[in-house]
Amino acid sequence: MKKIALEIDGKLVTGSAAINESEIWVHLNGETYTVEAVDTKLSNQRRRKQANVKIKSGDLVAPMPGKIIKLSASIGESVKEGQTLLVMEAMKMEYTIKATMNGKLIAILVNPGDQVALGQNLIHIEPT
Amino acid sequence: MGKENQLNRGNDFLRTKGSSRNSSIEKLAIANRGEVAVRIILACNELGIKTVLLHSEADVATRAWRMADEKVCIGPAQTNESYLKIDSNVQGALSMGAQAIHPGFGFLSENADFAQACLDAGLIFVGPKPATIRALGDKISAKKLIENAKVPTVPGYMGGDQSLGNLIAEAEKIGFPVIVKAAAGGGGRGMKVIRSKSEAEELISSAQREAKSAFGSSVVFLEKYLDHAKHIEFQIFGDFTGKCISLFERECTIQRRHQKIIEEALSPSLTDELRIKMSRAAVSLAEAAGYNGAGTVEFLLQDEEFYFLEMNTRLQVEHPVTELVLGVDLVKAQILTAAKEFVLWNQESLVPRGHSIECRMYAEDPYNGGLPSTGKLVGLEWPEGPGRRFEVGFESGDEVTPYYDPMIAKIIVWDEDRPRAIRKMLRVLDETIVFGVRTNIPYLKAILSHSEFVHGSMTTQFIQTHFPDALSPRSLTDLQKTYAEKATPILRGIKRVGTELGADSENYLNSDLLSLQKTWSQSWSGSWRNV
Repeated sequence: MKKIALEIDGKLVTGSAAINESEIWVHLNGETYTVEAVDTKLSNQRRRKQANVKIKSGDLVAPMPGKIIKLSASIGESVKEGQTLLVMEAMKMEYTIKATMNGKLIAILVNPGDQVALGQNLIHIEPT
Repeated sequence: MGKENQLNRGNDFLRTKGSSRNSSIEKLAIANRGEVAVRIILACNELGIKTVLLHSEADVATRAWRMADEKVCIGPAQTNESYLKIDSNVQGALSMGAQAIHPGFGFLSENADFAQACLDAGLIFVGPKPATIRALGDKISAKKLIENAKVPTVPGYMGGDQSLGNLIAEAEKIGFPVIVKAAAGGGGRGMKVIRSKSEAEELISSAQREAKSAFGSSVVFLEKYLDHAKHIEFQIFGDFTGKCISLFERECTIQRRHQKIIEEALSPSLTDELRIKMSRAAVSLAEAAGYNGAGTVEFLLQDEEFYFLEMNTRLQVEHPVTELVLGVDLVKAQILTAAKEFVLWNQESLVPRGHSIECRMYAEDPYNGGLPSTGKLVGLEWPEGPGRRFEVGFESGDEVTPYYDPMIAKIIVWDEDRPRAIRKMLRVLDETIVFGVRTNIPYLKAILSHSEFVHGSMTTQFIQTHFPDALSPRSLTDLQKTYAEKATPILRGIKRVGTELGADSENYLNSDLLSLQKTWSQSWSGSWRNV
């Protein structure tokens, strides 16, 4: 962590900052925030274009590492926004994963008892 | 010489046997982790007791691990394979020649089988007797004890018929809203509020599953849900003779899903009359149970009536606020009591002064519903000063893992009165720096600034009413973006050509310091010698 004083728009601004691979962490005027480092943002965008990875909005992913406890909907079912689809457990609390849109549940990629990683695909909904 | 020339010092700690020498316990094992393990190590260091940390594989390279005199790895990261394994903890303590074991809070601290296993192995257990833990630790049997002692309780169902059908029927009898809780543990786990019959089945089975996962038992009980109450708990302490006193109360009304976030001592809501009544109730329960060591009796207070909630037979997370208003060290008192070397403070000498507030710092994203945040800490700064206390489990460079409770530190302040304490806490939260994981600091600041909190009129509905969702995300200001951009090359160590004050002064400071250091080592290396 470094204390860095910068001149911005003619004024001296002092804060603390640190870098963690591609993330810049800053503490300024009583607030902490993080941004993706500008110099890495461009290279990441290029890499993403090359791999042609697109995250569709109907993909529901695990918001944290944990264990699948219960599936509350089935393949082929029409689901409504806000409907409970899946229950998972992390840090001894239960979290319900809900549908983010109205649609048809066309894929369930996990089973109860599965350990899942952060960002892992769980369910795919085709929006209607 | 008359009394007017004497000061009432309340130096009862001097009555401790052997206050002039170290404790008879030479080595103590800590069956816990994080900031409480650090807390226990600090108390042991000051008592001249060697420490052994019983830790999991995920807690190597943490602050407690570095501070402990010795350490034993007792299992992998998953708590049920390490911190919750009675045998591994007992064997770990014995293998390093410890005479005593401190269970901290959570994990096995309220597990009577664990306390018994320690005693059977010849270890001193820092806590009450196994029989006491058993009688008070199970919420159902504790409630029965309280009823016999004629302390008011919340209407509920604590029977053995755990079938869903029966539990739903009993909930209807009590009258919604009803809360379902785990019998074998607390801390908000296995706890759900049922507002109508239609959601009873889903919530009861969910609570049973959580309870089984957290405490190994799916047994639950039901209680009428008091919907505008305050959570008031009394710290009690018993010495090894079984005499108990009250160290007054803490208010812990600010809770999210029954997990405490902010606690304070004393409560802004109690009259002295209520305080005395509730103190007496807490102490008589503790004495009836033959309690020794630190314990906490929790009540709900609604419309000037108080109801027993549960008794926790261990040190509590929020113990520092009591320590600061009374000037006591509860952990040292616990250890000395276990060693039979501490006789109680004189109740009259415990006069609370000022006001103390604690904030639990969680590694979570307040702009995303409190989603846990993990990662490597790349910067930590605690704004030390008078009346500021930090209980911290990690240091910069350590990794916050997803295996445990996301509470990574506690921030505590003391000041002359409650308004000052609130202002001080806001200032401290402004100045605290955590880089690498997101924290709930913005959330804490919003709560502390809310008029209902400032007035002290909050109830257990506070979070649900005023902060039901995540904080609204704010986009970065231009100043914030510009600052981060311009700081990046400095952080990467790339020298900048230009007239930016920051870049220049950074390099200026660095090169100047380097040349000064060279001068120091040159002049000192010649003249340094052992004395």
